[in-house]
Amino acid sequence: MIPLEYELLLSTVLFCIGLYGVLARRNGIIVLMSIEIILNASILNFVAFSSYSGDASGQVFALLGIAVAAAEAAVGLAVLLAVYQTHGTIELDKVRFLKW
Amino acid sequence: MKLRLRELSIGGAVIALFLLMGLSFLGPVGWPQSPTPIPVYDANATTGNGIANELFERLAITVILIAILLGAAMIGGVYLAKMDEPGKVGP
Amino acid sequence: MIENAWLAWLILLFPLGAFLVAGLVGRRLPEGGGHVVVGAMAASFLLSLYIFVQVLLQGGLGGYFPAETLHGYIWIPSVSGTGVSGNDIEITLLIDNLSSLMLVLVSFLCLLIFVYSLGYMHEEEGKPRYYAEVSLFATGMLGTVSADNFLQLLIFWEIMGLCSYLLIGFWYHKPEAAAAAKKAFLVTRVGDVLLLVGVLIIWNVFGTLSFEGIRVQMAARYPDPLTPELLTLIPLLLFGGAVGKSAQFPLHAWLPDAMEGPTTVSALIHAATMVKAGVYLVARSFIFLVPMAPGIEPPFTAILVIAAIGGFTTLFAATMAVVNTDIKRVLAFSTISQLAYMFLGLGAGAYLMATEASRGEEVNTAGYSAALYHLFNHAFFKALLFLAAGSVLHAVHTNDMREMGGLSKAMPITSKVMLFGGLALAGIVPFSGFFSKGEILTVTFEAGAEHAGFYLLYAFGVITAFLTAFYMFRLWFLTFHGKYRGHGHPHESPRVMTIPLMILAGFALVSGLLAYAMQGFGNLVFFERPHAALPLMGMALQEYGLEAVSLGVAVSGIALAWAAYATKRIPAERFTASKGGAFVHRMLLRRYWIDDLYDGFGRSVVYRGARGLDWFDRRVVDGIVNAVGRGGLKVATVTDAVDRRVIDGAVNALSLETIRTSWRLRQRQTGQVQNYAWVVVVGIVVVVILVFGFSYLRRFLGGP
Repeated sequence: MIPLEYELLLSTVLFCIGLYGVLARRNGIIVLMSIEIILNASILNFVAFSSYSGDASGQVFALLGIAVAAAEAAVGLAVLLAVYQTHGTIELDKVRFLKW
Repeated sequence: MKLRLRELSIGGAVIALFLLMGLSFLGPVGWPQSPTPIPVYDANATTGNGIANELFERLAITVILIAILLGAAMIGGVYLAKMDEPGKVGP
Repeated sequence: MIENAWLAWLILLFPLGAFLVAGLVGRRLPEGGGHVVVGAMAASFLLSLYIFVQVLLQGGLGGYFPAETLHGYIWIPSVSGTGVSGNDIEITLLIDNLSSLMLVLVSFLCLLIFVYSLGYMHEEEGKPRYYAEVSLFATGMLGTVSADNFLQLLIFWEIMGLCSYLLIGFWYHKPEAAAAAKKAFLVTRVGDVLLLVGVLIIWNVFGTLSFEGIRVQMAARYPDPLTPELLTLIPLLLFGGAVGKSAQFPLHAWLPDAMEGPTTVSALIHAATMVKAGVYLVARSFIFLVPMAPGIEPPFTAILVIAAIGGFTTLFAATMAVVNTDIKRVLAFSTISQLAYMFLGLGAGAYLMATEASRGEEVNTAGYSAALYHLFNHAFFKALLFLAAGSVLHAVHTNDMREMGGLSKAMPITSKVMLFGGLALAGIVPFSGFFSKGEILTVTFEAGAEHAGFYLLYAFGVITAFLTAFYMFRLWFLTFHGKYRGHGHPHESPRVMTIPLMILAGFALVSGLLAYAMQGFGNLVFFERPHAALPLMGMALQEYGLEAVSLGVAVSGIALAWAAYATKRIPAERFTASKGGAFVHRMLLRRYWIDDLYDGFGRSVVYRGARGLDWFDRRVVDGIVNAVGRGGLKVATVTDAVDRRVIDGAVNALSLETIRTSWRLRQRQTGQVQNYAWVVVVGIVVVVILVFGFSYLRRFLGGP
């Protein structure tokens, strides 16, 4: 049917789009969304491999991964909130604690 | 101009990583050809192929821990939402 | 052999020791160390008398006393293989008739004059300096007359020159004294240079400097390398030194000015001893003038030069003494004149001896003995005259004879002893001067038979005898006769000054008569052969006549002086009234303008030459040195620039780049997490490429 490579390519593309978002966007919330995209790409990868090799572990792990992604999004939003409360901005360009 | 350079450089790095990852699985790698369906629940207890079988039999403690984790996240979210109202929880 | 000959060294060492004592600790001693000096001199005198007596007893009279040489310290050892053995340069003393007599004479005169100085210098400042210097001078003179070789003689000669300079300029605050000391030193220096050249030529030709050594080698070295020209040149150069030291023409200018020193200095150095060293040197150089070896032609030219200068100077100086009004200067010119007599005697005697030797006859050494006899006598009466003049100066405090007069009442002893000295100088029998002067004139007359020029010199000598008597008694009458024209209170000198005067006066009387005791002075002091001729006994009519001539002119000179100055029968102004007379008078007063000639020469030639050399030194030589310095400075500037720019620049650049690199690296730490994440992504890419890329590359390339 559909060769595995297409699905792997899809997950790679998603990963790279997410990576681009993490690196290039200044708004913190956009960065969190991009992190979700990256997580989704990796979960998709799990599912693809599990489907083509007949092993159920991949899909199980995918479920657990989704749960982790959700928890991580919550925590990320809490951190971003704290940053907003101390600096008054969520522009990641302006947050420079570790500047020399 | 500076933003342009920034985005270009990030794009370059991302594209390089994409190409690298692509090269790693493309080519003469012997992937399996067709997907095999995996049932969600398999009543046949001997094979134990189903997802639910796996999840609730082998990884039961993991599910419980994940539930605790999500519960803590939810409580945290509620707490943070309540912070925005003046009074109730501080600061 | 002389017993205890080593005592001869002490004769020199005692005055040297007294010099050190007086010089170093004289300030703390009473009389500035004068007593120490007198004691040392007395010891020297006794030792030299002891040695002289031994010389006499062992055949000094009439026989040939083999000269005793005392070898001392070898100063410069000889280079082996030069052919002549024993030509080390060492300090050696020679004891023979002449040197032992001179030792006695010098030490005796020094002793008397030092005793006189105790009184004369009593109120002076700087006594330790004076006694140290005269003691060193005594060492020098004693060393000169006892030297065995020319080099040692030269060394002690120079010591005397130094002490003469120091003592003439004793009152160095007076500019005239300082100038006179300088003049004395420089003029005698000219002579000393000639002497040094002569000594060097002797060394070059003979390889040895000792008198005996030269005498022995004369025959071996003639005519090569000792050419006749060299044989003429060497004694002339030695005589040049004598001309300087004994103040003969043309190096006579220093002696009249040297009277600026204390009178005892004038007596010691410029009458009795130092100026005699020149005569002694010429006497020693008879080994060149009259070489008694067969086949050697004696240097007649040199002998004639010596005699001519002697004869000329004697008249020259006597004329200048006639007009001078300074008592000491008259005596100084008299010294020059009498020394010239001695040189005349030596020259005439050498001429006679040389002609007789070249003809193979028996050599008659009269002239040598006569000159040295006159030296012996002159030392006594000239010292007497100077010391008496010092006594007068001590009393009236002025040198000018025009301010003296009638002092014979106030100073009886001084006037009497000066009369003795004057009679001796004039040459009146039986005083000593008569015998010795007469002998010299006789010898000159005899030499006239060989060479007509000597008749002219004889005439000079006779005229000089007349002038000598005249100016001496002019001095005596102006000082002691008539009325006192001065402003002081003259009185007789203390006994410490009059006793040496009386002793010297006694010697002035009897030293001539010593010749009788020895059967002729030539028996004691002779060259090669004793001259056992007694004066006034067994002489030919010719000799009687000559003696009468010399006595006659002396008496007439005294008579003229008496007429002019004592009784004023012939007023002195008569001579200077006429134009010619006035001119002559001025010429004599200005000393024939020779001093002005020297001064002008010095000013124009020497001074301008010095200016030119100074310009050269400052511009050219210093210019080169300065240019080198500036060049060095520029090189240093370049080096400095290189050092600062290049080397320091490299070091600085290193550190600056480090700082700039660290600054740039710090910029990387922006604090933005996305930048770090980007770096991580790029790092992953790079690491994967590196790790897997090479192996793929090798597989693709190395494979089929």
